[in-house]
Amino acid sequence: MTAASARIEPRRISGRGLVLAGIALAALCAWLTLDAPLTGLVPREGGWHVVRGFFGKALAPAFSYQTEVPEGTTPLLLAGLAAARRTLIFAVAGMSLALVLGCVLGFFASSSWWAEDRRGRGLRPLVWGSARVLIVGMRSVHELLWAVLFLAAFGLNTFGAVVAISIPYAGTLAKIFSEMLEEAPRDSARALRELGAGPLQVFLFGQLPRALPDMAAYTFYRFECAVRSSAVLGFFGFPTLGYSIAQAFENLHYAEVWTYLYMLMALVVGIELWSGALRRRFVA
Amino acid sequence: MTFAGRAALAGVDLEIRPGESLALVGPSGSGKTTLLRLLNAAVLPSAGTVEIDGRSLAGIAPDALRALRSRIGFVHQDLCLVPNVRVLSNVLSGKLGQQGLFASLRTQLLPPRPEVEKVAAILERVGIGEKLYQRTDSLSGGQRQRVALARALFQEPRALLADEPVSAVDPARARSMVELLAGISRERGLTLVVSLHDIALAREFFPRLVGLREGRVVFDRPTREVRAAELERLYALAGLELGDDGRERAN
Repeated sequence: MTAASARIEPRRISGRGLVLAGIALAALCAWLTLDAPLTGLVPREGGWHVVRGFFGKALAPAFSYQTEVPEGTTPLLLAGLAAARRTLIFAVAGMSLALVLGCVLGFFASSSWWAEDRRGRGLRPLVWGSARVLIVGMRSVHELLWAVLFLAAFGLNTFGAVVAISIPYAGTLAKIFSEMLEEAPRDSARALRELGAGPLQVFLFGQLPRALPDMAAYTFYRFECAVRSSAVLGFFGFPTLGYSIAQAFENLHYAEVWTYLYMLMALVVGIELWSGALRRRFVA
Repeated sequence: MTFAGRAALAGVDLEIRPGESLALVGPSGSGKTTLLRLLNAAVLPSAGTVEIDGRSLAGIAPDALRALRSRIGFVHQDLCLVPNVRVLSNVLSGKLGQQGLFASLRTQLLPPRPEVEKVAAILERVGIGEKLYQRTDSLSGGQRQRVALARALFQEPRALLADEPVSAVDPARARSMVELLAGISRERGLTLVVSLHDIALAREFFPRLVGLREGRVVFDRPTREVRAAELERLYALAGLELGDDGRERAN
């Protein structure tokens, strides 16, 4: 008996190496064609003044308005808290709508609903493909663009702002959810199918639990993003923290800007701590 | 039964009577798992017929297939449990084949007391009664194996199949696991089919041995009539044949 020996291939660059080199080259080309001289980083005449004025107040946020305000105006901190509360409400509302849509679309964009036999096989490409196309459409337009669109169509409508957040977020959640469902181990699902469970039962009790910790962690991360998006919507006039920030900035009240920024940071950090605590309790 | 053009099983003719217990023995790749999956109605034969309870699997309706599967318990080699839920949930899912969607949602989310008591009793029987509310992935390999067995038993099956139930545990635990399978099957009058590559265990606990090699049944007879030389030949490396004197000879 003669043992077959492994044939050693000649040395050459692997396909993976070529792709990596190509990506690096593309990045280099982007910077070279950008035509961005480093002198662009030096503030313009008068720009220094703004920069110094702004960062100079970083450690001295305002606790009351920097100028005289009419009698009966809500105090700065209370107004900021109210804006922060609205920011959170917009984010929660947008995110909850996005979560429902994202779960449904993510389910149909994965292979989880495919029966094991040939039933409904003709329907698969249609449903799966429609879900995918819908997801791409929702994701490819940024929430700020949706907001501009709704602003033009419906005016300064709270519902418009919430829907503007939820459309692209639903698309992103659906895409990531479907991938997580697809990549989760399938052994438990197979076992349930083999003991007679129906397709939806297999999904709910065999497949979904395997992906759920990752899906939950990702949802929390997106919730954090939603709070930032909700704040930025204020720049278009919606009454969130962004509105307060834009107003204060226009009036050159940098100390007030910092007050609002710290409130936004507190929101984001708060969510981070809360989600971390939940994850430690339920996932780890 | 063929996979990728190569027959995983060929010319297998096997009859298993209700309440009988037998072991499938043979080297890796001999078709033991495929045969078990056929018996579990998890796969259908590409040629030939499989009959369960006198009923052919050919052209069986999906609902009838579900009903059939729900009464056959299978302990997979890699267990196939959901690791990040409680033991209770894993065992409860044994009944999924006998429940509608809403009934199963209710059972899983808010398990009724009698069901929980049933699960507790089964866990007690398989020796991990205290693990009812623990997360499955906090258990040891041997304990998880018992969870998989408990899930199969919660099906109230008429037959129990187990694929290499001893591959993941040390010899002492392997023996107690096979003992448990045999004991429970006897108590409940279950048909038991287990694939094993541990010949000693197969001989000790099973009255009937089926030897498989390269997808064919080499022998199928009462354990006491299986000769040692037959078993040795069963496990001899491909390309080598054992002579009558037990020495390897090039083929």
